[in-house]
Amino acid sequence: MSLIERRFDPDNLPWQPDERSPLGRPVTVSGSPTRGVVNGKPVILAGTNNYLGLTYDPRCIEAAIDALRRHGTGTTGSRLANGTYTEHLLLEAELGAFYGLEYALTFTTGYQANLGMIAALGGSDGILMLDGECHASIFDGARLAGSQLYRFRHNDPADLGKRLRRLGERASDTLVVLEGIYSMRGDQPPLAELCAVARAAGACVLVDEAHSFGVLGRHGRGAVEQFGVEDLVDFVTGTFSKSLGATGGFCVSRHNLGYLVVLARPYVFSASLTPAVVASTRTALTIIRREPALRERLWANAHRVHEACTELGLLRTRCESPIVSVVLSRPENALDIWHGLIDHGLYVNLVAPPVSPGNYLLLRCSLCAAHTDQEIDGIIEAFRWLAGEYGESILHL
Amino acid sequence: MTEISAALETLGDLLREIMTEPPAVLGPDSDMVDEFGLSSVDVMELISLVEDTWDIAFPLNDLASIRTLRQLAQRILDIGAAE
Repeated sequence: MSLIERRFDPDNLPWQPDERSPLGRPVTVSGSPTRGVVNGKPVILAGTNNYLGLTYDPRCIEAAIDALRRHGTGTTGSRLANGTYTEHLLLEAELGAFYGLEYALTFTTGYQANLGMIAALGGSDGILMLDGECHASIFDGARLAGSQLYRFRHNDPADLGKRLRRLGERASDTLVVLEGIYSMRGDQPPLAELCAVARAAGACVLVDEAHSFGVLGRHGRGAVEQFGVEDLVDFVTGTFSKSLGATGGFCVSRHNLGYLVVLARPYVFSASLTPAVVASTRTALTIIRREPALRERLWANAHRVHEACTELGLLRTRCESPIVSVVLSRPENALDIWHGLIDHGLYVNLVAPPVSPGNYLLLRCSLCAAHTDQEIDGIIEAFRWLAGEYGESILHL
Repeated sequence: MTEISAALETLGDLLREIMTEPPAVLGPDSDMVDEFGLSSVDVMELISLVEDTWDIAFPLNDLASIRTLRQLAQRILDIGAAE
């Protein structure tokens, strides 16, 4: 096969790019963080990662419009050239203050935050030890770094300890990378135990809070706050594209990140965050700080859907996050199920390997603080249809 | 039995443990992905088992140059000798 034949081989895709494929399926959103139209059908959006529902918060929108008018549509340059505006520095100062840490950097996407930080920290002479279910951005950062790369069994402190022991003295050259909530199955890590193991071996620790920022912790600082390990963690990365309702990424640390910027190639070679995104993110951060009720509402919604799915026989796991993932045992009817849920007014994510963490498919539902009680009822009704029609297709891991 | 033969035999046992439908013959020079049908998840599980069985640290970077069981066995022995 030629290069073109290999790259354009239909077998490379889990689904053929036709009108039934969920890949890149247009979602029409207009005026609400929880309602949209998919396949011409009105749906409740429950596959958006819009955990706090801030995408339509009028304060965020007004801040973005004002910034757009005053500072224009884009910065047209890297942070190291013309792309650092005063507002970028203010956002970084506010992120640092939120965590009580001196140093913060922002990136143009969350993916780039992990890619840049992990590549820069790992370098060609470092060692990276990743949880086996870390996000692709983390594994890609490791590849960009060219570091020696190891993985340990997902959420298993004993396995991490065993693998660090095998590195001997090199364990102190190791960055252990963890996540605050794992995006596909929505499970939390035993973060205190994992951090203790890493620190005992002399390794440093980075926690990606993409799905836990604004969701976990008394003040919304994520898993590091929830598990009381802020002093044991060297670096926290995160994204603006979930709880903060925009797009972009960040890293905060007690270490001086100014020494690292030239090594973080996505930081150096990308245009910086647009003024509108910086403005809406700063406003969203203030809202997260001042309105813990949003987080309480999110968790109430998550618990309701999780309990209902458990009663329906779709789940046997604990509710650890706003992500409710139902595992499908039979890939051949996954598309029928996904389209059936849309017909019943519910949009969730259909996730196939290699994006899902095992050799199985997931119906991944993410809840939102803005879901009303009536919308939660609608989500549960759609899952009731799933349990009734396709109960035999559900897998319990 | 040579060291490499013993390693190949152990790797065969590990593969049969991982795969739901392993091929009848696990040829040492067959391509593990293209011919055995090993998925990326299977490969990761295999490396975890390799590390535990030989008590070594196996860098995932090395997988880029390994296609067959014989190449994997040789790399395991090299790492073991270096450690």
